Amino acid sequence: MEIQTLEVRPQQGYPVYLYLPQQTLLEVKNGDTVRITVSYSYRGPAKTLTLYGAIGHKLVWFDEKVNGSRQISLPDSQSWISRTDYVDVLINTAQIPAGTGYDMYAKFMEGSSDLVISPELYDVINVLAMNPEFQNFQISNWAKV
Amino acid sequence: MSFVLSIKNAPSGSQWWRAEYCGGLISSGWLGINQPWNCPYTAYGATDVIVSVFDGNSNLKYKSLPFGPIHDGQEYVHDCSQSMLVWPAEASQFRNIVATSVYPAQARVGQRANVNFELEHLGASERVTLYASIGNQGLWFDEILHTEYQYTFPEHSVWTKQYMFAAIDITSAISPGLYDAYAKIKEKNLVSPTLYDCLTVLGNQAEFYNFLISSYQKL
Repeated sequence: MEIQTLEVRPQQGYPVYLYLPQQTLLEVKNGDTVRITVSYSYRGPAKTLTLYGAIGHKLVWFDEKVNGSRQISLPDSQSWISRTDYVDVLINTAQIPAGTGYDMYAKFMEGSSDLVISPELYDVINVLAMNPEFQNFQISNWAKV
Repeated sequence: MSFVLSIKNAPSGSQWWRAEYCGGLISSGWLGINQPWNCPYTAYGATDVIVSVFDGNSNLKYKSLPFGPIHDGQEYVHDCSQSMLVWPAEASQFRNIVATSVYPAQARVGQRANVNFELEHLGASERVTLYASIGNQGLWFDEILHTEYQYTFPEHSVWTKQYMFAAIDITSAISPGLYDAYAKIKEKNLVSPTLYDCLTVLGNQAEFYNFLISSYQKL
């Protein structure tokens, strides 16, 4: 075998389920905002791209319920640079019904084209209902008054 | 013709020159600044040759002290900057052209890369066409991009290394990949060895690596 080129790539991150100590379960309700932070390495020309985040259910494809996006300006770089950026997603229960075990993912888009898509995180969001909820409702005492 | 006399390094703006010896009895008459005097008269071993240089309005720009001796059958050059007689430079020669590097080693379409090369020159000043190309060396060199420009090498009395470069615009004619380069002097057919794998043309697309959701939180 003849080696023709060698490319130095940035250090490979650990798989998500390893380097997130625990996939924190967020409980959110209508009107809350979830901030999704992404980390990545970039190489390429200066570009302004759309960072897009979505919450929904991963089935065969990702069934998005709510999403958010934000313009990110990436600098011209001929070598790999490490970056972190975030995108906020507003929880609107008119679009995402109360429920448990919602998933999320993020991606960069140029126009309507997806440039890179993150692995999905599973079962990380619970959306609480807005109607009154009771738990552990029982008679704790009784007396003559 | 008994001897040849020419001048070099005349003051700027000079257009004419003349020479005389034998107490002014023998004169070249008016000569163009780059025109040698093919003297038809015997040199007599004269030591009283005087060179005068004039501008376009016949104003004297330079006059030498008497110099010599001069002899028949010789070729002489009077250097006005040093006011002395020098031997004519050897014919211009080039050798050892080598492409040394391309800078930057990575470039994108729209950028410019310099092919750096060096060569050795000896002899008289000469204007030549320097040429450099980027492409792929196979059985022959498949040129994709190239540039050329004219350059005048000054006179060198000994073999002298000259460090040169040729700037090549990276255009969409070349695809992303790894390329070779070479340089040459067109008129001399003097070609450098190929410099392999010296330029990486990067794509104009954004590249990502390790794109992950690193955290999430409720604000």
